[in-house]
Amino acid sequence: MCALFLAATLAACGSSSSSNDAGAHDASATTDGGVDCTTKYNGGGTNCAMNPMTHLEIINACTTAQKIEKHPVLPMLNADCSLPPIQ
Amino acid sequence: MRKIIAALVTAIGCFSAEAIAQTPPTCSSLPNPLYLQIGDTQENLIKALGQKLVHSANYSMNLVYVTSGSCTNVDAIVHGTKITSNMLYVPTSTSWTTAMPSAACTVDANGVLPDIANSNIFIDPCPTNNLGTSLSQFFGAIQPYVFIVPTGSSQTAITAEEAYFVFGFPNGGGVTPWIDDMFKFIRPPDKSTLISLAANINVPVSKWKGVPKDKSKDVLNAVAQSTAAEKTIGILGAEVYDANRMMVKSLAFRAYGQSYAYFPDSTSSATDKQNTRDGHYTAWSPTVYITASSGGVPTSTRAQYLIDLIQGKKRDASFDPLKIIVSKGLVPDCAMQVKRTREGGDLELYSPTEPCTCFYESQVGTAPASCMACVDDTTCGGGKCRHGFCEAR
Repeated sequence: MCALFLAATLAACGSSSSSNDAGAHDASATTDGGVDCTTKYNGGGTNCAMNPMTHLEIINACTTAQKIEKHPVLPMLNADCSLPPIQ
Repeated sequence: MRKIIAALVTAIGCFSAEAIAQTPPTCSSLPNPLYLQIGDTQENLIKALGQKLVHSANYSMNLVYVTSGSCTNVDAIVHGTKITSNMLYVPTSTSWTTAMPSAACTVDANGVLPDIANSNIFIDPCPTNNLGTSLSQFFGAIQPYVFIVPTGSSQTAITAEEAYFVFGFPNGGGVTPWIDDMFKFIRPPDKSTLISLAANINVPVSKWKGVPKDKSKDVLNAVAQSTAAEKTIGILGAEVYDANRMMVKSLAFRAYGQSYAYFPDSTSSATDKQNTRDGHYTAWSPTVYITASSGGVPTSTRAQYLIDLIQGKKRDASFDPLKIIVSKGLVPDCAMQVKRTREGGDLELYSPTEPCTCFYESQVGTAPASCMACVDDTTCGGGKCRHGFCEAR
């Protein structure tokens, strides 16, 4: 749960300029509550951690490895853009 | 008449000899057997080690094994559940290669207890996870787990959020293209592959949607032979994937809170496990070997020998086990730069007490220029010569 919260927080700060997912900006990503969830889980961005110490810094450390940016379309997000519980 | 009888006798003799040759031996008749109950993602490793050990002049033994789910294996050794089905072993024939199937042997009527049970996840998520005082667990190499798609699929990556919907909701929660549950090939809930990935995407093991396959090779074949490449997805241990890269492709994975998706290796085609070692790829678990112990030391000398080899604490006179471990797509602890203490848990920086990074990188490519070859400590400037390279400690 903590990871999900951190994910949402970090992802909300991210930005991206390209997508490898043709449906990334589908209107279905906007919920009935009027909140735009389109970019919340986009990832991307240019910041990376030079001297990683924490978990989030480690997984986002600067690297020369191949990286893939993805803008997922998640039609079943909650109105507040959180992930719904699994039934 | 005599010629006819002689011919018949000869024919019967030949038939009998052939029948005998095809009858599996009893496992207990094999010299120095060590009975293992392992996850099938470790079969390639055990076959390779078994081939070396059966011919070892130093400590010859037969690795006799059966495959089952990680949690089933843990439960078996904790509760003393005997193996009653046929087991497998590495033939002594020098023409046998690890690409060939192992040979079968029959178990005595009373069954046999496993000397070692293998789990390829932390055992905590398993229903039976209390080892008591007479069993100990020993951590082996690290194994990444991967999402796979057919080679004909255009997909290259999956995010944790996507996987949450794809595997946690009917019809993939509408996450295209993985919206058909009949084309999601998963494993039963006692298998390490599913448990490890479940912990990384926060989908409980009992809630996964898809078609469960008992064996890794069944998932591999189902994905590879799918008639609908784009909407097909499956899960595998990287050891199995690495041995079958021509059949399917793995997806880069973006963990919760991560900005980009990464492969276990530095690129989709590399085999260096760079992202696993430095923490960019989070879907991995330790391999765990459980055996009877006293004071934390295995009571079976054969079990201790094998575990020491797998942990890199010992080298057989005729082979370096770390070379075999690395060649099977596993990452020895000594090459890791991050660690975790529970399934899917946060990563921490890690400095192994006896690092082998230069050796590891020499095995998966070319050792960096900063790595210096050595034969002993004298040329290592205060460092240690490990597996042919100077390391800091």
